[in-house]
Amino acid sequence: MKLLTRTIVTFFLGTICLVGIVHTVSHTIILNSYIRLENEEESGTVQQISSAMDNQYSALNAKLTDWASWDDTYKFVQNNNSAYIESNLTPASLNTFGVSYLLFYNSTGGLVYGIGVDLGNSSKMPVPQSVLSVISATPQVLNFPKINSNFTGLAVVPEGPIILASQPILTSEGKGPVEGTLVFARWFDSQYLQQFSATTRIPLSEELYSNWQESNPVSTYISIPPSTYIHPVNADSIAGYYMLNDIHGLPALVLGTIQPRSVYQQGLTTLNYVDLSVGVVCVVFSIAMLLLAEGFVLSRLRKLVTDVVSITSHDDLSAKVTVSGNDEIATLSGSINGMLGELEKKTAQLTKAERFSAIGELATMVAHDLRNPLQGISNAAFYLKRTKGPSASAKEIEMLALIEDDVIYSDKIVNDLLDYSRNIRLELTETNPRLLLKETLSTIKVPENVHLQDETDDSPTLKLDVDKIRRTFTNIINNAIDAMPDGGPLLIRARKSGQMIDFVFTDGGAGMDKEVQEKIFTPLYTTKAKGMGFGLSISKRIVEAHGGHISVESAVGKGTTFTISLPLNIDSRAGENY
Amino acid sequence: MSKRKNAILVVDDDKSITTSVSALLELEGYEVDIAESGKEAIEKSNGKFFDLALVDVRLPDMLGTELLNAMKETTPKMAKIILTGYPSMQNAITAVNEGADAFILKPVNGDKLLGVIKDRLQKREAAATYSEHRVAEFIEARVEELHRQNRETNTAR
Repeated sequence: MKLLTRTIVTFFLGTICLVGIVHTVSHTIILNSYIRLENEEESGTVQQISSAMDNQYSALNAKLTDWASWDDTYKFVQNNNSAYIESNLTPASLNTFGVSYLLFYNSTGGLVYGIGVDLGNSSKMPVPQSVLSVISATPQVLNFPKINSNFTGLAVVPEGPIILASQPILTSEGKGPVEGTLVFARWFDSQYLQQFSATTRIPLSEELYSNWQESNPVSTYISIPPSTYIHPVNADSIAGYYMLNDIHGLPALVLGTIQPRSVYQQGLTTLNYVDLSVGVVCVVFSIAMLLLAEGFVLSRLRKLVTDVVSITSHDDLSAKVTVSGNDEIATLSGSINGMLGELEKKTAQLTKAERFSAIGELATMVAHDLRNPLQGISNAAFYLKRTKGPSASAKEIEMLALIEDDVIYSDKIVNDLLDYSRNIRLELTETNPRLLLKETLSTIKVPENVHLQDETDDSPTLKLDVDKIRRTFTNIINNAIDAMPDGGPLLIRARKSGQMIDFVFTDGGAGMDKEVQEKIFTPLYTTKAKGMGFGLSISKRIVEAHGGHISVESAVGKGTTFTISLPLNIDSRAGENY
Repeated sequence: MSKRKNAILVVDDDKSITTSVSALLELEGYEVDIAESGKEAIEKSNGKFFDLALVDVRLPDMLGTELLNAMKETTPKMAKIILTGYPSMQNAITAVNEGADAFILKPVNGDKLLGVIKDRLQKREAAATYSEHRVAEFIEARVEELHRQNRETNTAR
């Protein structure tokens, strides 16, 4: 996969992960807060139901007091007079009163009178036996600890839930003795619920606890005070339930209200905004990062690749890749350039070596073949010298000597050519500058008019191919002598310079101009009529094989200085490829 | 006793060498014969005794060192000098191992060539004289011994 593709995929996946994480975390934290808030709100609603229910009981009690603490009622329980019934207990009045049943009990618990009304159509209705049974079976309805006590409660009979309220029957002044008990009963029916809802302004539903429990498996919640249970129905609505106990203290009726989940929806909207903004930020950030990566890394890497490919395809090692900035890519580019340079150098060395090898083969063949005719010429000249002997003229003797000298000189050229074409193999031995020069000078005939000044020392110890370096020195010293046919100074010094030792040969000869200086190390180039042609180029190869270098400084008429720099520690692999 | 002329065999396929070298050698009073190949050299050395052979390393049919090896058995008393334009350590070692007495690099100057040849011949002659002397001594000693034994036997009788 390409780097750009990989980067894009990485950023894409990273962004998705980031959005996912932020989404999960924000949902957990923010939505939980909203759900808590929603629960609190719904709890408040349920609490309102609870308070409203208490108010209902209080209102009922207040109405009951009007009837129970009344002299007429007091008397009615005593004598059951029909006048009371006719004037007070009509279905219409009961209907206005909002009570389903009005039950008068005497002090011994016997029912004195009971009347029922259908609150829907104001018609008279008998009191069901079930209601009477519940009342008689519940002692606290008819018996009061004090004369100002009262009782309110809910009873569930087969016909449905019914609210019961009772008070002792007293005089209008609220004094005893207690003549009996007045009981109000009111069906907790849909009509009642409608009124209740209208009062509380909360849409309500009712359900018997037993039924409700079946459809709400977590109903155990509701049995614990404050007897409320809240649970979301779906994403749009939430249910809050309030439980009413019956007169025995057992759960009997559940009042429920379904509310829209506005808080929760608000939370969801907020979360959507959070998700959206995080998404947008991530996308913008990713694009920005991609652009940065593209600008700072990828495009430069591509440029680098293009450069390298171009260099490879053009086979041009001297070309360089572009280096920009000073970061890792720039370092890499620099390293590649360094490598190219090294490669170019090594290739040049290799090419040179190959060329030498080809020249060498040819040269070796030619040189060897030249030796036979040279031998013939030499023999022939020698023969003539012997046979002519003393009878030869001076000119003839001179000519014969010329032949012999030229044979020697030709032989030297052949040998130089063979030397030059041969691979240089170094045989390193220990020596020192003074010793090296002394050995060199022992084979050189220095003319008397040349004043040789040897300023070398017997330190440091050097390890080099003594024979080859001696040849180099010999060559340079001979050149210096040749450059001073009328004599002059020749100063030879050796000085340490870092990890190198410099041998400096300064003569007071004719000197060379720039053009000549540039060509002296080229094979077969010579300024002499009988120049060696190979001397300095062989010297250069020998010095370079040691890992050193040779240089020249010269001015016409002022003399020449050759400097041979050799490393103090020669690489044991030195000389390969030379 | 008049001294016999030393015979030298020049083995080289290059006419300029054989002609010029034989001219020089004849000038010095040697008897010279020429062989232009290894095969010819073997034939000539079998037919006649040569005191010395001057052998080129490169011959048309074999290497000079191979020729030395071939002539080692047949002419052990002949001095052998290798003359070559192709000096190499391996050539020199092989030449010495095959019984060469000298190894000369072309081109060599006439004085030096003649010097080496003369030197080799003298050494060979000295060795021959020495061994002749030793043989004579041995025979004399042996004859003396036999005489003594003979006398002792006679006396005992």
